[in-house]
Amino acid sequence: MALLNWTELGDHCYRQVAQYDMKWEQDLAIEYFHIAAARFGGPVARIMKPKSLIMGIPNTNQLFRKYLTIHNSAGKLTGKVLWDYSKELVKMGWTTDEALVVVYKNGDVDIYNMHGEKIAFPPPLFGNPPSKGKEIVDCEVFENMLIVLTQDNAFYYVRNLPNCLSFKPELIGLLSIRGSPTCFKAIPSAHSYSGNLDILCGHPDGGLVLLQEMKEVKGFSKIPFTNEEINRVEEISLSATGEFLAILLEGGVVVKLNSNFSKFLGRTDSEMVERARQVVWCGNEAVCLIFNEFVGILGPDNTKASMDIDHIKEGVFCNSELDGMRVFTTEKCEFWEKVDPSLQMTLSIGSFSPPALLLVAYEAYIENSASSGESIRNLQNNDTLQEAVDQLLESASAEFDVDTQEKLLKAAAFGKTFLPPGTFDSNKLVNMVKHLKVLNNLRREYVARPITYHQLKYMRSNGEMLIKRLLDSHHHYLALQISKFWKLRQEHIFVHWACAKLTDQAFSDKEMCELICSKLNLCKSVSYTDIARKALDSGRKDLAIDLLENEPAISRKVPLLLHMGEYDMALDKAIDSSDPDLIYLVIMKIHEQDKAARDDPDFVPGATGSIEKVLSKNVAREMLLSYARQIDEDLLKQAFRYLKRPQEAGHFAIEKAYKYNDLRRRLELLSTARDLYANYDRDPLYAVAAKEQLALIEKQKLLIKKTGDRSLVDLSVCDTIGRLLKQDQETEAEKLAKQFQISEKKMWYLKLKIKASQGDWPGVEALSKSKKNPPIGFRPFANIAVQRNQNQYAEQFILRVPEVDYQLNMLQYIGSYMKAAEVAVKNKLFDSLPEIAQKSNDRAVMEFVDSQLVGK
Amino acid sequence: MEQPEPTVKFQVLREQARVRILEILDLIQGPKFLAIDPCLIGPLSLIIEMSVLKDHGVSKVGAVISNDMDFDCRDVIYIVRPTIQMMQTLSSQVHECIANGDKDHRYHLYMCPRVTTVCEKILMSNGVMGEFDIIEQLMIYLIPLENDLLSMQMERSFRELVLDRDFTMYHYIARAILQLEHVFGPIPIKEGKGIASSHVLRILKMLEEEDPDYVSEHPISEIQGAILIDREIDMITPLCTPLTYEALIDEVFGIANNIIKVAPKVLEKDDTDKPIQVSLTSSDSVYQEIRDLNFCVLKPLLVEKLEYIDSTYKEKDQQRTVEDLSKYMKKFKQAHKEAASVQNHLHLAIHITNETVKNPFFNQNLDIEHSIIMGDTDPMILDHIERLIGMGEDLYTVLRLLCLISVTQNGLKGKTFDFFRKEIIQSYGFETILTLSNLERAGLLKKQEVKSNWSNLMKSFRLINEDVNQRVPDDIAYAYAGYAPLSLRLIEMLYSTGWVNEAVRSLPGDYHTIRYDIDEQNNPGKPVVILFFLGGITFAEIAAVRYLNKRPESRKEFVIATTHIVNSHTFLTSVSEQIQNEIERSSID
Repeated sequence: MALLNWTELGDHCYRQVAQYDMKWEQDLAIEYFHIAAARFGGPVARIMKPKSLIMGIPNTNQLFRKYLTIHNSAGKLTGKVLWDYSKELVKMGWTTDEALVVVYKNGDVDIYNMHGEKIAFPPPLFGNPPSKGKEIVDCEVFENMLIVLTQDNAFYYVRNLPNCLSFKPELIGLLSIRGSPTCFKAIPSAHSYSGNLDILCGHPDGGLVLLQEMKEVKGFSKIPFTNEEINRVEEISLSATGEFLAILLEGGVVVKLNSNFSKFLGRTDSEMVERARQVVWCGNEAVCLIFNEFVGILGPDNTKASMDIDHIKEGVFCNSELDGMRVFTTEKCEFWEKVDPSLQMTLSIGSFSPPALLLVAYEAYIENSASSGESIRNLQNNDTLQEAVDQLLESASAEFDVDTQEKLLKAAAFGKTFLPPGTFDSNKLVNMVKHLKVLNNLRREYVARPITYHQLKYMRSNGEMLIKRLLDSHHHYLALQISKFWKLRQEHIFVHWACAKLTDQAFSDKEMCELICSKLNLCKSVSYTDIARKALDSGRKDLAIDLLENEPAISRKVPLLLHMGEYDMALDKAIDSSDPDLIYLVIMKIHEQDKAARDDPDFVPGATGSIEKVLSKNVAREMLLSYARQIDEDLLKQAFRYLKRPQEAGHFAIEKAYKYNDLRRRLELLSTARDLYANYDRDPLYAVAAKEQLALIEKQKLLIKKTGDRSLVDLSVCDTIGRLLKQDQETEAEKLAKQFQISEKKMWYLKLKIKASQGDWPGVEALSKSKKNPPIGFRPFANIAVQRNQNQYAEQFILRVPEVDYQLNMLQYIGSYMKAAEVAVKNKLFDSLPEIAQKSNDRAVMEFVDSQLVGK
Repeated sequence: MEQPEPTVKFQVLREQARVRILEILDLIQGPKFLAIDPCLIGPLSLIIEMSVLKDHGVSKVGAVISNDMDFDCRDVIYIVRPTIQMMQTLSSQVHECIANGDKDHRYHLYMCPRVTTVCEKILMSNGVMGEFDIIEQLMIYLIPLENDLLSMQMERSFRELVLDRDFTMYHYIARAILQLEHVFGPIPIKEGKGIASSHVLRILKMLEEEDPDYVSEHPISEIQGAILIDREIDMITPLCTPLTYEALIDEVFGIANNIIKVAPKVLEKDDTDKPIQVSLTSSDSVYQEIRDLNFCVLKPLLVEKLEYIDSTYKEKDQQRTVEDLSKYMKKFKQAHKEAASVQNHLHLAIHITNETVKNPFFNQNLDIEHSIIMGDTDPMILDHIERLIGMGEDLYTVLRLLCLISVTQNGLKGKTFDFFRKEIIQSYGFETILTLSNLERAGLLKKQEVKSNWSNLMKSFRLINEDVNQRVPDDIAYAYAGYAPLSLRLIEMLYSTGWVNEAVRSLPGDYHTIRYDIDEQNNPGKPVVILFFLGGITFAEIAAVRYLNKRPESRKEFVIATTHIVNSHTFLTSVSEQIQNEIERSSID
C-alpha cells in the first residue's frame, strides 16, 4: 500500500517533495510574473507582466516593479536587471550553461548570468529597426541555442550561446502557411525525425507541421500510427531528455510520441474542458497538465491521476527535469517525481519485498527484538539478502529526507554483515554515503541546488558541469570538496575563487596579493594571469602587476601586459618566450599604436619610438620584416629606412617590379631599386646590374621599334643577342655585345647555340674553323653535336678535344667504337681496349682490338 | 620479405591525426565541401584516404587557390596553414560568396598546426572573422612516411630557417618534439648542434616546463634520445649527387608524399596518356628490399628476381601431386605479387640509368662534383661551370656546383664570385639577382673572406672514403659513392669520441642539450634514438641511417624525423626567388 502522500498511477506512485520555502516576496503572487527556470535545480528568473503592473497590484516592494530578478531555487535573490518596459518581451529562457537569454519583439537579445550581469552583447538579430517581416513572434531557448520565429513565418537559430563568434541568425526554414503556427517546439538532432534539428509546429487550421533543417517541410494531418485527425494543437511538450513528445490537442486530448515519430506511445483524453496552463513532462514517463489548483498526471497505458497543488496565492510554474519536475508556487519550491521502484518496494506499507524485510529486521535489531535474527535467516535462506542490501542502497539514493536516508543506509550496512565475506563490495556503500553527502550539501538552502542522485550522475558524466555551476554561484569550497572527491582538476577553482575575492576592497593590494598567493601555492600551474586580468578589470592595476610576477607561463602574461599598455615589458617577455604568436601579437599591437600616433596631427617623430624599439631587437626585427613583407608595404619601407638596409629595400622593389606585367610600372620600380642600390656600397654589383638592366630595356625598346619583335623586351642580354643572331641582325648583336661588355667567349657560345638550334651544322663547322683555336675550345662543339645526335660532326669535334678520357667516353657513347679503339691505341691505353671491344659487339672492332693486343 | 615490427609505433601519430580529422568532419551533419591549402593536400593524403572522406560526408575536395570557389554545399570546411597569404585568399573567397548573394554558407576554419594571432587579426581586419562558425587548430606536426621516418612535410622550412630566421619554424619543431614526448613518453636526453637546434631545444625546454602533463602521464620512455641536426651545418650533402635507388628516383622523378608520377612510356604502358602514379612505400616488399641499395647493384638484382619469377611460372606444368601443387601455389602467388613490382622497378631503373650513369653529361658533372668535394681547385672546374652557363644549361645545375664550391671552400674568390654572378645575370636574366642574394644570405654562395678549413674537416670527419664497397656497404659513404655525409659522420662521432672537440666547434651554431632524469628502464632491445633533421634530409642520408642500424656492431636503433625531404633541386629552389617574367605586350610602346 502506498504511503499517504503518494499518488498511485498504474503500478507506480508519484510524490511531491517539498524543498524550500521561497525566500522571495511572498506578498506578490507569482501569477503576475513571467518566469523561466533552468534545469538541474538551477536559477529562476522572473519579471512582472506589464499587464499586472497596470492592474495596480498592491504596492509592496518596488524592486519587482522595476527589475528583472533572478533567484536561486530557494527564491533567494542572486541578481537583478533594471527593466525597460518600453520593450516588448517575447520570451526568456536559460541555456544549458545557465545563461539567461531574453528576447524582445524587435529582435534585441540580452544575455545575463545568474548575477544579472550581461555576459554577451549580441547585436539586434535583424537590424535596428528590424527589416520587414522580421519582428519576432515567438522563440525558444533550447540547449545552447536560441530559436526564433519571425512574423513572416521563418525560423532561425543562433547557435553556441552565449560564446559564439557572431550572433548571426541562420535560417532553419520557412513555413508557407497562412497565419502563425499555434505553437512550436525544437527537437534535438539526436532524437529528431530528420537527424538534424527539427521544428515541430501546430498548424493554425489543425494538424502538425514538421520543419526539418535543410530538408522539405512535412505535414501531418493525422496522428501517426492511429489515423486520428489532429485538431488544433494547443501545446507541444518535449521531455527533458528530448526523447519524447506530448501534444495537447484542442479539447484536452494528449498524444504521446517518440520525438522521431518512430513510435506511438499513447493517447489520453484528460477530459478537461479548461485549457491547461502548461504541459510538462515529469521525468520520462508521465505528462502533467498544469491547472491552477491541481495537476493532471497522464501516465503510460492510459493511466491518469490528479494531484493537488498546495498554495495560498495564485500561480504555479513547472519546469521539467530529467527525472521529475520542479514546481514553483508563490510560497514553495517542490520536486515532483515518480517514486523510485526500490523506494516503493522498501517503504510501501505491508511490503514483503526483501529490502522491506531487511529494514524490518534492522529495526527489530535496534529494539533488541529476537525477530531480527529470524528475518535475516529467512532472507539468507531465500538467497535474497544480497538483493535486499542493494535495493536499500538504491532506495537511500532516491530519498530526500536525511533521517530516512540514514535509516536505509544503516539497514543496508546491517544486512551487509550477514553476507558471505567477499560477496559485497564495501566501496559501494562508502561511495553512496559520499554521494549522499554531496547531494545533501547541494540541497541545503544555502546552496539551493536541489538535484536528485540521477541528475548528479548525469552532471558528473558531462564533464565539470556541476563544478561550473557551483563556481558560478560562488560556492567555491563545496566545488573544491567535490572536485577532490571526484578527482577532478582543482586549479581553476582557486582561480575563480581569487577572482571573486578580488572585489573585496577591505584588503589592500599587498594583503590581497599575499592572501591569494598563499592559497594558490597549494596547486601547480595556476593561471595568475586570469586573476590579474580580473584585478585590472576591477581597477586594481598595481595588484594586477604584483600578481603577474607570480605567473610562470609567459604565454598568458604577455596579452595582459599589452592590455595594460606595458608594451616594452610585453615585448621583452614575448621575446623571452620565443613564441612567434606572442611576438607577433606584441608587434601588431605596437604597430597599431604607432600608426595611430603618426596619424595624430600632434605627432612628434620619435615620441613613441615603439616600432624602432621592435626593430632594435634581433628576433622581433626579423619577424616584423617577415610580417611587413607580406602585408604592410609602408611598414616595410619604414623599417628598411630605419635599419639602413637599402639593399633589401632594393630587392623588395625588384620583387614587386616583376609582379607587374605593365612595362611602365616595372621600369619605375626598377629605377627605384637602382636608386636604393646606389646607397649600398658594400657590394656594387647590385647597383651596376640594375643600371645595366634599365639601359638594356631602353635598348630593347629601340630594337623593338626597329624589328617589330615585341618578345625582345626584358629578355636577358644573352637571349636578346641570341634573338638578334637568329634574325641575322649580326651588326645589332655585336653592338649590343659591345655595349654590355659581353665577352668574346660568350659570343662564341651564343653563335654556336643559335646555329645548332637552327640545324645549321655546316655553319657550326664553319664557326669551329673560323679561328685556329676557338676561345671556347672544341668541347662545346662536341657536346652540342652529341646532344643533337649529329654523330658525324660529333666525332670530328670530339677528336679535336685534347683530353683523351673525354674522347674515349664520348666516342663510345656515340657508338664510334672503332675510332675509340684507335684513340686508345694511339695513346697506348691498351687496358681499355677489351672493354671497348666488348661494348661494341662489332666483329671488326674485336678483330682490330685482338690484333693490337697480340703479344702484349 | 616480412616486415619487422617497428620498435616505436609511429603509426599512432597517423591514427591520432586521422581520428581528429574524422571528428571535425562528423561535427557537421550532411554534405560538406572540404577546401584544403594546396600545400596540405599531399600531407593529408598520407593520413586519410579520399574514399574515407566520402564516407564521412565530404562531397568535394578542392584546393584553396583562387578567389572563385564553387561551394556546392552549405557547410564549407577549410583546412589551411596559418599563413597571411592563406588568410587573404580565404577572406576574398568568403567576400566573393557574399557578393554573389551566396549568403547561407557556414564556414568552419581549421588551421594546421595552430591558430595564430596574426591570422585572426587579418580575418578580423578583412571583416570576415564573424563569418566563421568555428576557428580551431588541427594539431598535426609529424606524419609517418614510414615506420622509421616522420616528416612535418613543410617544404619551405629550410628557407624559413636560414633566410627568414622566423621563430615560427623553431616553435613548430619544438612543438612537434613535445607531441612526440606526449605520445611516446619524455625523451631523457635531447641534444643538438646548430643555430636552429639551439633555439628549438631552448623553446622545447620552456614548453616542457609550462606543460603540466609533461612528466606525470608517461613514466615510460619509448624513445631514449633525440639528436637535432641543422641542415645549415651540412649544406654539402644535399648538393651532392646521391647514388642509392630511392634517392635517384627522387632526383629524376621527384618523390612527393611517397608517390611519383611517371610518364606511361617509361613503364611501357601505352594504353594511357596520363602520368601513372607509383606508390613508393615499404608495403611494396620488392621496393623495401632495394630502395636503399646503391644503384650499381640494382639492375642485376632485379634481373635475377625476374628470372626467378619466370622460372616459377614455368614450373607450373611440372607439379605432379596435390601436395606439390598447393606448395607451388603459395610460391606462385608470392611470385605473382612481386612480378608487377619487379617489372615496374626494372623500367624505372632503366630510365634512371639512361638519364644518369649512362649519360656522359651526367658523368661529367659527377666528376666535377667529386673534384670539388676532394678540395680540388683545378681551374678546369670553373671552366666546366662557365661552359655550362655558356651552353645555357639549367640554372640549378650551375648553381649546385657553384654552391658546392662555396660551401666547401668557405666562399668563392672575390673575382670568381663577381665573374659568375655577372655571367648568370647576363645569361639567365636580371631577376636572378634576387636568387643570388638569397643564396648569399643563406651562406650557400658567397665571397670567400676566411680561408677554408675543408681539408681539416675532411680529415677529422673522414668525409672521403674512396675505398668504400658500394655493393656490400661497409660505410655510410656507399650512398654517395665515396663521400660520407657530414651530418651522419657527426652522429657517428657523437657515439664514438663525443662532440667536445675542435672539429665540431668549427661548425656553425652551439651545442645544446636537455637532460631529464628518468629511472633506469629495462628495455629489451636497443635503445631508440630519434634523429631530427631541421631543414630537411635526403633519401641517401635516410638510406645511410638505415645502414647504420643494420651494422652488426650498432648499439642504437635510429629512427628519423625531419621537417621535410630534400634533394639537390628542391634544396636550391626553396631558397630561390621564383619569378614570372612576363610583360603585357601592349604596355610596350
